[in-house]
Parts: sequence; C-alpha cells; structure tokens
Amino acid sequence: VRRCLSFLTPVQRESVILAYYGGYTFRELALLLGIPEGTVKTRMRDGLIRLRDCMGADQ
Amino acid sequence: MRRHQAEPHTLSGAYVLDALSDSDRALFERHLDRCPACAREIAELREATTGLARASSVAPPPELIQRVLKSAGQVRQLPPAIGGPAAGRIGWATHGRTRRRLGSRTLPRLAGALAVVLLAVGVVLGAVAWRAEDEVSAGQERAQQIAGVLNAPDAVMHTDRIRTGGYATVIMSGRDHALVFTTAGLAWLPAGRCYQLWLMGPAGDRSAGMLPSPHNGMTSPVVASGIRARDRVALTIEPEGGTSHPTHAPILVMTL
Repeated sequence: VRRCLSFLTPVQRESVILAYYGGYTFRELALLLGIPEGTVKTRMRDGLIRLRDCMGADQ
Repeated sequence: MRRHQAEPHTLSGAYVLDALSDSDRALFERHLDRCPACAREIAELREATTGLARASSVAPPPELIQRVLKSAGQVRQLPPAIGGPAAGRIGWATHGRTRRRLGSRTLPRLAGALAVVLLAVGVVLGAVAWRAEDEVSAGQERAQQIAGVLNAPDAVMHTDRIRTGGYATVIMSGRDHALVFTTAGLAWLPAGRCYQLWLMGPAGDRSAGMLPSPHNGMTSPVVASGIRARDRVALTIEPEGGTSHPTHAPILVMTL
C-alpha cells in the first residue's frame, strides 16, 4: 500500500489533505492555492484513481 | 450533451472526499442518477479507500494520506460502519521519502490567496478597513501555523469519537509544541452554547479557543500552541464566548 501511495504526486496529496483536514471545498481550495478549480478536481480524482489502480494490480 | 456531462463527471474525486458545497453535491448527485459510469467510478474510488483502511489496520504504515482516506471513508458517508473505536495514532513522516511538503513555493501563494479570501469576506460583511487588515494578517499567520504542523517531521495524527457525536482529528507536532484540531459531524448545539477546546495537563487547564461554526459538517482547523509534556486535548460544551475553566465534563479527551 505504501508503494501505491508513493505513486500519488505531492500536489495530489496536498489537495486531498487540505480538502479533508481543512474542510475546504474544491472551489475554496482553488482560491487558497491560486490554481484553477478544474485542476483541484482533477488532482483529487486522479489521486484516488491512481491509488485504486495500483491496489487493484497488487491483488 | 457530451460537454454538458464532462464537467460534473470530474467531480467524482471531490465527491468521495466530500469536498463539494451543498449545491455542487446536489448537482453531482442529480448527474449521478443519469450516469452509470459515474456511479461505477464512485464505487471504485470508495473501494480504494476501503482497501487503505484494511491495510492500515494490519500494519499501520507511517503515511498521513492513508489515515486521511480512511477517515474520509469512516467519518463522512458511513459513520456507523466503523467497527471498533476510531482512536488511532499514526506518524507519517518517519520516511522522508514519502513525506508531503507544502514547500516554500506553495506557502506564500497559500497565504496570499487566503488574504484575498479574507479580504473578500471582509468586504461582504462590510468590515472596516483596519479590521480587514487585521484579519488578513491573522489568516496568513494561521495558514502558516497549520502548514508548519502538517509538515513537521514528527507530526502524528490522532482520531477519536466525540461522546455527543462526531469525530475529532488532531495533528500534533512535539517539535513545534503545537497541534491542529478539526472535527466532523459535531452535534448541533442550541443557541448560546458552543464547543470549547482545552489543553489539560500537569500545567493546568488552558483554553485553546472556541471551535468555529461547522461548514459542511466540519469545523475549520483550530491551531493550539504551547503544548506541554503530558498535556491532553479536551472538548467541552460551554456558554457562548467560552469560559476560563471548563464548567462541564469533557465530551472528548485525547491523550497526545
């Protein structure tokens, strides 16, 4: 699992962590990070997809 | 048609992480009814988070993200399906390789953007200029404190259930003598009551501030500094404005 997590890029982790601990919505996060809303959405989705794909391949 | 569907579809990750406003969530859920592919994707993304929860319960890996995703599955959508106490303690930074960093490039941007948000809020509320400036600088300082604790090499995370409902999460850095406290799913309080955070230990009980009003079921992070040896974190329900000493039994006590 740890190996799979290393496949997440730092920015993907950042979006996930700030969304969760900060309680921010993706729109608020986009404002905070100064990046487009679409980028935040994509980072969250891609991060979770990467994780799922990697874990699925391991099984 | 295609273009119309492409936009909500990309919200799946944010949806699983509960990072949508009420209106966005409603929009996405309406889309979900008409989009079997989205429904499949949601189920798959949830599988990933469930897998993480299982894996970390066997051998807790030192990685914050796992705890984040595990908590996302536990706290938000299915609170009753937890199966055991949610108390946990996982450091994530013992492996420098996997450590998450906000980095020097991100921090000024974060603080700057936060300043913009707070300014906008100040304008909306009709706050006078000097007040807005105060809030901006307080906001910047707070954002830096939060980032500092999250990035501390010795940061550990604790999650526990609150007696009156909901969950509390603490990320603590012994190096910084500071912690970040957030909650999800807090019970609603009648007017005139609020949640107050405390540090309790041999040094005595000290207020760590009031919890802000929940937003989408979560309270934004409260930073408590000046943590001392053998301090515990506690939460009580107090009269609005808070008290200098707890007047009610804690509904949460977390050992750090």
